[in-house]
Amino acid sequence: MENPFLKRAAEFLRDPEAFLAIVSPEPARVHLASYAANGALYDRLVQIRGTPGSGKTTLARLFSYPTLTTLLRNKDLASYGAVLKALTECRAIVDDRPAILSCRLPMETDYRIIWEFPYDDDLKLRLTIALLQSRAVLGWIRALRESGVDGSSIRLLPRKDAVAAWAAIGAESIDMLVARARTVEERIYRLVGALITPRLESISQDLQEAYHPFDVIDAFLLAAEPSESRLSEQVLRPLVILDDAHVLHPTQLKRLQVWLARREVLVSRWILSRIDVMHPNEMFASVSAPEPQPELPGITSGRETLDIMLQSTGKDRSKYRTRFREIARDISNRYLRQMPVFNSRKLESLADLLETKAQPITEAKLNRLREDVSRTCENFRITKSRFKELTGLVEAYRPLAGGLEEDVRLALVRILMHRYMKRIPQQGVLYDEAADPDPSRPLSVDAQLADAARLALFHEFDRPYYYGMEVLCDCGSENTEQFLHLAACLVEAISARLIRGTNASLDARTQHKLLREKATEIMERWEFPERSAVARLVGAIAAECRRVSLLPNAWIGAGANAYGIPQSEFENLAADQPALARVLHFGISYNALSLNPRYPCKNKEWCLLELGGIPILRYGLTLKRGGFIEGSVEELKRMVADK
Amino acid sequence: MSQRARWDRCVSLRGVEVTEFAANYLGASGRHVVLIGGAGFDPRSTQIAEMLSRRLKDFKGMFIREERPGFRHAKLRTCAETNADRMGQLATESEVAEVSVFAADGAVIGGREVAKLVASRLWDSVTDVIVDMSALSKGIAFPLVRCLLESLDHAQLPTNVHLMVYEDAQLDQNIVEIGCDRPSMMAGFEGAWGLDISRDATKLWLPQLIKRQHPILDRLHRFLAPHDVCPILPFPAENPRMPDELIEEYRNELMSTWSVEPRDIVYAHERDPLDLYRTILRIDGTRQRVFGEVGGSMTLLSPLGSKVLAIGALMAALDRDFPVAYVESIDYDVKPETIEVVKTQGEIVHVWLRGGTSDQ
Repeated sequence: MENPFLKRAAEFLRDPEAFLAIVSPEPARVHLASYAANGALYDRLVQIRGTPGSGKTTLARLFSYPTLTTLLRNKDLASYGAVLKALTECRAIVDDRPAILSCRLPMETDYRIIWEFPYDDDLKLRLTIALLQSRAVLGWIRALRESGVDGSSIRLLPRKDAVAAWAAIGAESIDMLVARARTVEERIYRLVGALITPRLESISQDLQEAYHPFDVIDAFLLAAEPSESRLSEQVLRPLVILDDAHVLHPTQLKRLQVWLARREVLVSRWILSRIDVMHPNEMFASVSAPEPQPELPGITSGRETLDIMLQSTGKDRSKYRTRFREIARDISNRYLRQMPVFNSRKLESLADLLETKAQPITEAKLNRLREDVSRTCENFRITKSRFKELTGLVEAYRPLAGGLEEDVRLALVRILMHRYMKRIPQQGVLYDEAADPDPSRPLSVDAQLADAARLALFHEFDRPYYYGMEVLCDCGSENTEQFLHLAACLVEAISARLIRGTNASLDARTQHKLLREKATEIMERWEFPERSAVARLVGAIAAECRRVSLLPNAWIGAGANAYGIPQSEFENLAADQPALARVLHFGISYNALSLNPRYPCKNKEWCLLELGGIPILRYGLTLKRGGFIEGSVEELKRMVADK
Repeated sequence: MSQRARWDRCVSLRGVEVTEFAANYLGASGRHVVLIGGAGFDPRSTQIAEMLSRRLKDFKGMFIREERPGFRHAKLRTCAETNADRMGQLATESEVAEVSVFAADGAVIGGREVAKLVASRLWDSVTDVIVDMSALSKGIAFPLVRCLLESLDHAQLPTNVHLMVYEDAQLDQNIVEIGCDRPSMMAGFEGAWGLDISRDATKLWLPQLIKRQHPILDRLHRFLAPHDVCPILPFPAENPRMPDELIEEYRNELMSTWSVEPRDIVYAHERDPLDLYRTILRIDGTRQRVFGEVGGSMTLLSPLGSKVLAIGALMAALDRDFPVAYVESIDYDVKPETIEVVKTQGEIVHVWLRGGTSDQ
């Protein structure tokens, strides 16, 4: 049976109708809409960065012309409402008409190969730009034709002072424009395809000459269709989206960015790339940057460029996590509706199929826990009155928690006893049995402690810990693809139940088991540069976090899932420890780790290396943020070292 | 009318036939033989050189060391060095050329580097070039062969080109490639992939399946976004259950991601490169007829796994200029015991690619 969760279905749907039925508009609304109002999305170079699978390509497809026209043709469909609203907010649709004409150019290796040629950088840049522009022109015309626009109804609006350059791009007619672009594309493509680089003299002069449609074309004008009530021409602003720009040579990309950031370029231009395209230093700075505008997550903007990160950064992390949950819910529900086995039964919400009811430990295990609590009480010689007081603290918390299972209650009492022992003066061999000193600091029970109790029960008695939609979303580490991969195994299990006619909902134990197995499988299939070193680092951090999280007094609260190094040490890391920086760079780029810089704790600033959702699942750590192990760059180096 | 296959009639030998051919033809007086092969950790590196040294009075060697950044497995490196030394001893004259597979920024450049190497050599006095693909990665071997053929054609030399591989399907399965994160077209095998005029073509992807290559196949599928997928399974094969095992292992891809119908699966003889070559050409020919009026068809190859089958894919790509998509390996997952022993029942497979009567 086909499972769209397994394949990021949105990427593989060719028809705009099918794509629109499944795509979530939330990423566009969350990341882009705020910048459309002042025109920043279209009047300067926009650089969108994210980890692999964060939805960059899907975002680009959402803005394609065939998508926009299909959307408008079916705008009365209720299921398209949210997408239409988001694209209107992004000003891709204005007055119920498309306002942009986009084309997505994947930066494949043919662009990168140009930079291997033994020519000077200027010529290599000219060739890169010419290839890029020719493909953009062909992409725009193709988008119009795919949407059924007749070539004769397309007109180009030239820049006022560029009429003289009109002929150079073949803009006298659309056919000539296409023919010229095809010639340029083919010539450079053949050059690039040669195994042996042609000598400089063999490159024809006209290939080296100016071909600059980006500097000439202001807009595309479409004649109004007879069926339209409006008589005015439709004005489309051309948008070129360079996808996967990380494939380019670093110098090539830098020079291309400078060229695209020029104000003379009239075409709207976006560059989509992974965050590992940046130098470690640059990336660390980028993901560490404080927010200039607190309401806009992950974004720093300049006068000529607009940088958008598809991951949470800075202080907005908790807010972004909530937003990602919305996005993930929306996407999962849309995907679920594509599966006949769910759709035919009107099962449209994945969250409804993931039980959130806790599954306490068995009676036999509960008895073992009771015995352990009694034994601890005896060993610590805790008086009956003190034990009653500790039990009372847990009981007082029960209504706040909305009820506590017996196993969690006992685990909490056990933690409180250990905490109590840490907060009273050390007892010698002449311990007075009647002594019942008060703790140096009062004891209390809160949600963090209850979570620590659940984590302890998970590791000690195999109590399910990872279940429910929120946990699933959080395990996604704000990465759509990761979320979908994890959700896929749950969806598969649910569909098997539906086919067999049993209860469709997955209980906590099954969810917990499937998610952990999937995380292990994903980690074993990691394939990216420095993956072994990243795996060693992640394993070492996780082991330490687990050790501390499971200490009997749970001093770290809900548990640790991060490693903190002093911010001052981190600032110099890229310069002083390039090898370690490279490992961190790829770990962060591929969601194994994330950075939480300038984290204040104990009157110091820390930079936290938080484990991603997959390692957290695999090693059995808390998903709650904030708990970290204090460390140093030297210790990190030891963790990475190959034993 | 369908185009005639370039290697419709082709000399292909195996096992004892190859050793006889080496003794009687390559070893004849007046023949000047150059062996191009990989001096890597693969235990098959030395097998063909050993065979030639027993049958030929002399031959020259050009041995390629593929250098990958971060490739630090000490055991593999030691094996590669031992193999390079041994190959140097077997050839009358030899050179070991280092080829950087990746640029500093992670771009794949190995194919073009090896092409530069081949193009810089003079082949006038050589009567036979043997390309031993046993220990060369496909990202190096494919461009090497293409560049060699083009150089010889350009110089109008009658030099023979032979492809050889020490066939061991099990070893191919045991050396697991760890792919880099950039799928791409192989250098020299881009075909018309990147041209606007081919955008309307219906894309058919023919990936060779091999165990434990999910991430690489996943990247390739995303990169190519084909309309149809016809996975190639080895059958007949040394392990007759291999096709079933592969179908079981890739059931998610076959059913969900690639939407493969059972009748779309292509079976190719594991030990006969010509079987796959002819099958690919037949499929492409049929599709060209069907899709000719509606934008055409583009056949895309991805030769993962067996080296013998890779020869079939290489021949098809050379013949019809098919694009070849792949993910270059940044590393290999190999158990030390895998590379310590070469089973003796493996045999050499030979294809006469150029010269003689093979491509006339």
